Amino acid sequence: MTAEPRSAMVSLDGVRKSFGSHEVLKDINLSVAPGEVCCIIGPSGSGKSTILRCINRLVRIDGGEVTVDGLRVTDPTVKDVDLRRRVGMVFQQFNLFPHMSALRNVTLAPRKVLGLSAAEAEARALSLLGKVGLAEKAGSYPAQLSGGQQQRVAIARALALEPKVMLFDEATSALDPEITGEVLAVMRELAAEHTTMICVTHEMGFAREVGTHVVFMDGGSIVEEGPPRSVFENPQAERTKAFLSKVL
Amino acid sequence: MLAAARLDFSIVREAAPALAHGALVTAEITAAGLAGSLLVGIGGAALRTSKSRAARTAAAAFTEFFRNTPPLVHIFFAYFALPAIGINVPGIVAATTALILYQGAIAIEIIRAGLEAVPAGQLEAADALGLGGLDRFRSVVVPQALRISLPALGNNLISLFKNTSLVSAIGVLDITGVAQDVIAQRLSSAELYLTIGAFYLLSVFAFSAVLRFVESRLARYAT
Ligand SMILES: Nc1ncnc2c1ncn2[C@@H]1O[C@H](COP(=O)(O)OP(=O)(O)O)[C@@H](O)[C@H]1O
Ligand SMILES: [Mg+2]
Repeated sequence: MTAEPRSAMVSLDGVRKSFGSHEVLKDINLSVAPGEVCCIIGPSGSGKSTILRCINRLVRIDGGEVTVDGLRVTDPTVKDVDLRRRVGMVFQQFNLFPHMSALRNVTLAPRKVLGLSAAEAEARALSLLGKVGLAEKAGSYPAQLSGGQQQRVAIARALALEPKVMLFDEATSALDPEITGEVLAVMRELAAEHTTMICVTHEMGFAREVGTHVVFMDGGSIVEEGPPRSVFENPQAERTKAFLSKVL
Repeated sequence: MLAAARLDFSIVREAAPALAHGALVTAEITAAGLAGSLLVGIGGAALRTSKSRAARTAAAAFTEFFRNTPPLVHIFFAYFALPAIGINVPGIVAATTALILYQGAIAIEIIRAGLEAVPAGQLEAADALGLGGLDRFRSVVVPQALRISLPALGNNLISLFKNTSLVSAIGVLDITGVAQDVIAQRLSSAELYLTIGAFYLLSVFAFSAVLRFVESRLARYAT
């Protein structure tokens, strides 16, 4: 294992994906080391969500290889569940289970997937809800929570399997501007704890300050990537410059 | 008013034990019909939404046939036509089976719509959490699909309950059948029809009240 000093937590090698005749990912190469916060930016429709969904097999790739914590995503002997317990995912629309309390949203997967007892799962869920500042909302149903609270419960739910990497797909895009902060604060805290994170985001401030690596995508390709300072302050590609001039 | 004055409910009092037995038969057919039609509905909806094209087509054909033909015709067919091809069953079994197929065909469409109305994001969230097919179906999909389907399933139950009166057409002694028997012997009909009408009406009110209660309990997670 000393042969590979910085083995990637997540790597994509030559990943290709088409929906029908529409080629959505064209030869994507990306490597995310443990503890890194990789932020993916780019215009709508450029393939950012699809990249995330290839990592936990919500989307099956047509070519190339994805590796997560040493597991090959294209290997048919790798079970979905073994992959997905290593990958937490947070969605733009939260996707909390509306018929379950916040607590049950968080305990469901540990009980069913990890086989924890009800008491163990509850202890873990309460500690995670505390971490996102919602311990007192454990009994509330999603409909009784604000958008920001729902997204924080969704983060706790994704953390409950103790994943190796967290994927955030525009976690704050569905929120009113004045409450994005409470969700970004939780994400900053995770980053400070060296959680490996891949964040699709339109929050350029977050990408610049928290990201260790920034990827700019357009038209299904990675146009430019590097440390935030170089991508934001010294973009090389014309398309990056054009995009940044619009969003900054 | 004159007509009302001539009503004589003593005939109902005399027939009360028979009517009570008939009501029990009506309740039994309703209970069996509810259980049976829900099973047909869940199974058929699973086929209607399955990956197999043949299964989808077969379930669709079944649904279209049974819900677009009158339940009385199903009952007559089960009772008179099946023995002709060597299948002999008691009238109550034939009639209940026919009702199960008719109300079940309607339940298939109701539950299928409920399954399809569960948002895709819910399935993705369950998948992303590693919840396998059965856990996903049981813990995430079914509760939400039934929640969505509940008002329509309640209407289907009420329709089933009223349609149980059709079994009297082949001589089954449900409450309507008993009433017709008494009427045939005593040549007096208004009191008995008023009485069983009240039975059906009050029963439907009771079903509706229970359904409303369940709905209000579920409303706390209305989205
Ligand atoms: N399941 C799908 N079926 C067909 N087309 C899809 C599907 N998912 C995504 N696409 C298409 O792929 C392209 C990239 O989508 P996406 O990865 O969601 O982009 P982004 O997240 O950058 O906005 C879009 O043109 C989108 O319409
Ligand atoms: Mg997207």
